[in-house]
Amino acid sequence: MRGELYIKTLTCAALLGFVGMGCKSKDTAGLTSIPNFAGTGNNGGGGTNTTPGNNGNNTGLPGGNPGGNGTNTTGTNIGGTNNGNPNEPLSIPENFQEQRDVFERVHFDYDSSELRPGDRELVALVAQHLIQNPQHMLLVEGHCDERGTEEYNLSLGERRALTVAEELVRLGVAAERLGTQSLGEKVPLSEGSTKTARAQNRRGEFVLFMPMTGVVELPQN
Amino acid sequence: MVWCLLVASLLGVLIDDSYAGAAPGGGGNFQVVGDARNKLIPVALEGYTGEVASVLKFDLEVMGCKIVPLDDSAFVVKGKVDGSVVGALTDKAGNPGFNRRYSGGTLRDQAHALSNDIIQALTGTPGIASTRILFKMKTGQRSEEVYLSDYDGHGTVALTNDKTLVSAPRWSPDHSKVFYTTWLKRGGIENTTVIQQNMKTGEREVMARYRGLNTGGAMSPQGFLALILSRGGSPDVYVAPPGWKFMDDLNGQNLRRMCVTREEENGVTWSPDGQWLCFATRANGKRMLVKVAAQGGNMIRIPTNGVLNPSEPNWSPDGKSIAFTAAMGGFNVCVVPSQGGAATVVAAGEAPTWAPNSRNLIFTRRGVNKRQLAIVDVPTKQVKIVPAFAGSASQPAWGN
Repeated sequence: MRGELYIKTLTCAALLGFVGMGCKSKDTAGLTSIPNFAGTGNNGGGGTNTTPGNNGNNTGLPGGNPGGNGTNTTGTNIGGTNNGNPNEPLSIPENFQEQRDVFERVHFDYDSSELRPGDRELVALVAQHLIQNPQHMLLVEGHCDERGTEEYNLSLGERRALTVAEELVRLGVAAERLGTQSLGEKVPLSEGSTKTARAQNRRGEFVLFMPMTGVVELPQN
Repeated sequence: MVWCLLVASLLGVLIDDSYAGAAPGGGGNFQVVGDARNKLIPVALEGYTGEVASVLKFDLEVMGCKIVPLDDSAFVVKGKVDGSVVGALTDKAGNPGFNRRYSGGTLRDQAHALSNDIIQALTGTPGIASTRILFKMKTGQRSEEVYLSDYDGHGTVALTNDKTLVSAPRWSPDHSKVFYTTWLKRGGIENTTVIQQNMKTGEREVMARYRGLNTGGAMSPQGFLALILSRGGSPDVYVAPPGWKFMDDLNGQNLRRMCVTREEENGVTWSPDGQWLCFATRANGKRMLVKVAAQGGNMIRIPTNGVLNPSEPNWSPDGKSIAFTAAMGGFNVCVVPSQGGAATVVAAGEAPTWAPNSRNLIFTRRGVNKRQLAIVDVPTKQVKIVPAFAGSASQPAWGN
C-alpha cells in the first residue's frame, strides 16, 4: 500500500540532539555563538489572538493594515484554528528520530502554492497517519525551482508549506504538531534547468518525527 | 583576525597634495555634470602597470568612466608607483586638476583613494572605491556563509562559520551591525532565524525565531526593524520598535503587523528617511511593489510600468529611486522613481542594492554553474563583473 510506513528500528541518535551552532566558529575571530534562549517548548498558552486588520473601508490594496494604530498581535494559527502556539518553532523531543522517506512528495505548478487535486489523497494519508499516531510530529518543507528570485522563492516556499499544513489542519491534525520550513530554491532535488527538473523541484516534503525504538539490555539467565 | 583587518583598513590612506590649496578645475573644465554625466567619461591612464593599473581601471569604469588611449581621452591621469601611488589629473589640454602622492594602507587602498579623488574632481561627488560589501557564498552542498569584502571582491573575510544555509545579509543604517537569516538548528529542528551580528565584536543576537519563516531584517534610521514572518499563518511584514528584544517578546506582542495577506511578501526596504517601508507582494494575482507608512496604513502601489513580476526592492540612499528585480523569463535589474512610474531595465541580473552614491548597483548574475556579483553604473548601464569567488556568490549588500 502506498504510503506504508517503513519505520526502521534504528536508534540513530546522531540525527538528533541539540546542535549548537556558533561554537564551531573558531577560525572567524570574534564571532560569538548564537546565544541560547528559552524560545522553545515551554509556552503552552498560545499567543494573544487579535483579529487582523479590518479591511472594510480600505481604499488601498487588499490586505493592508489601515488602522495602523497600536500593536497588532496577530495570533492566527495555521488554518485559523486556535490550537497551539503560533509563536514557537516546532520542538522535537530528544528521543525522536527524523524520517524523510515515509511519504511521497507533493508538487506545485509554476509560481503557485495551490495544492494540486491529485495530491489531496497523499495529504489525506499523511493526516490519517498523524491522527493515528498522536505522538508523531511533522515538518512540511516548501521548495521552489530557480525561476524566481531568491527572496521571492523563500516566501513562496513558506507559502507552499503552509498550504499543505492548512490542509492537514482542515483534516483534523492539531496545528501544534505541525511545523513549516521554507528552503526556497536552496535544496533542489534535481540540478539543471530542464522542465522536468524544475517540476521536480517545486515540491513539498513531509519530514516525520517519531519516538525512537528503545533497546534496553536485560540480565541474561 | 577579521576585526584587526577592519581596523587596519579604517586607518585609511594619507594624501599629500602637491598643489596645496588648488581647487580642482583651476584652469580646465573638470566638472562633468548634468547630461554629460549620463555618458561615459573618456579617461587615459599613463604610467601605471599591474595591480594599481587594474584597480584604477576597474574603479573608474565602475563609476562611469571609460579607460581609453590618450588620443581619445578628455582627461588624463598620469602617475607612477614608486613604493606608493602618485597621480596627477589633467584635462586633455594639460590644465592641472591635482597632483597627489598617497601613503598608508596597501597599494590597492591608495589606488582606490586616487580613483575617488578623480571622480570627486571630475563630478563633484564622492567616489565609492573604498567601500565594502556583504554577500553570501555557497561553501558546500547545504552550507552557505556571510562574507565581507572590498566592493570589488578583494580581501574576502567570512563573517559566519555555521555551515548552514543563510539568506539576505544586510547592513544596519550605521553599518555597525549586520542582519541575516540563518537556518539555525535548535530543539531538534531547523527553523529560519534572523540574526544581528555586531561588526566590531562579533557578538550575535537572535532577532526573530517564531514558528515558520523568519527573514527580512531591515533596520530603519530610527531603529525600527522590518521582518517577514509567517507566524500569523502566511508570510507578512512586521515591524519591531527601536530597542525591541525578541528574547523579551517571545509572543511578539509588540510587533506591528504591516499587512495581512496570503501572498509571498519579500524584500523589505526602508526609504532613507525611515518614513516608508517598501516590499514586494501580490494583489489580484499580479505581483507588485508597494509601500506602507512607517506607522502603518494602507499598502500603496508603486507602479513599475513596462516590466513584470517585481521583487527584491532596494531604496536608494538619496531617496529618489527604487531598484528591484523583474522576472520575465530571465531576470533584469530595474530602476523606477521611488513614487513609481516607468521602470528602466539597467542590466541582466537580480538582487540589486545601491552604493552610497545612489548611482551604482551591485547585483547577482547567474552563470552556468555559479552565481557571481556584478556592478552597473545606472545612467550609462556599463556593467563590470566582480572577479569570481571560490563559491557561488549572491545577494550582495553595499556598505560604506
